[in-house]
Amino acid sequence: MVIKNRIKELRARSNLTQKDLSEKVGVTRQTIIALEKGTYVPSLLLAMNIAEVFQEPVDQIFFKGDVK
Amino acid sequence: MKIVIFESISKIIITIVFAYSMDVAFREIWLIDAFERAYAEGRYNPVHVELNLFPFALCFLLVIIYMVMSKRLKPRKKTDILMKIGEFQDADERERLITNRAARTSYMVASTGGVIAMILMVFSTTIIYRVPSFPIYLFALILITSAIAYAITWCLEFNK
Repeated sequence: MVIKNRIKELRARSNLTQKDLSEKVGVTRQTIIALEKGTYVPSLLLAMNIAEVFQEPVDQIFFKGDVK
Repeated sequence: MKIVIFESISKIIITIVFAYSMDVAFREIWLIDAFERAYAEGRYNPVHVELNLFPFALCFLLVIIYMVMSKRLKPRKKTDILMKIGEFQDADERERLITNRAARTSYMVASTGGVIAMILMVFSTTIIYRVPSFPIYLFALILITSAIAYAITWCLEFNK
């Protein structure tokens, strides 16, 4: 079981660059890249910050997914 | 990542130069010791002791250059003093996690290296008379290996 997310999709919809999002949530751009690739599972605080930026509930952005 | 690579390479270079400086000093102290041992046995064994300060000066210069460059490379922000010095990075939670994993690997390598060094020391009686500063280089090797382990783990985790 892995944690998947819709960050890339929501970021594109909000016309935000990786740098913009990283600055809004207070992390490095590399962390956003890792999140979008699904190689990094964020802390609850970061997940909540991201949810706040996209104005969506956390569970609508992050969800459990099966390993391919 | 470039900060970690810079810090690790700097640390390795400074460790090598520092180990060499200690070797230079130790070789002279070894001569003084030889003189004193002979003197205690009632023999007069003149020795020529001359301390070369160049490696020490070079080491000092490298540390200064390293400190200046390190300060310029790192972002200015309030953080834990341990995170400000050396190769530890904490720009965000992911970097803290990577630093944590890299530090664990480095610790394991240093611990294992320490045990191997102790075993090597037991069998080093023949080497120690030919290279008296063998333990200094052995100790430097542990530091270098752990720094390399830290840098490799950090870069691998960062690029995941």
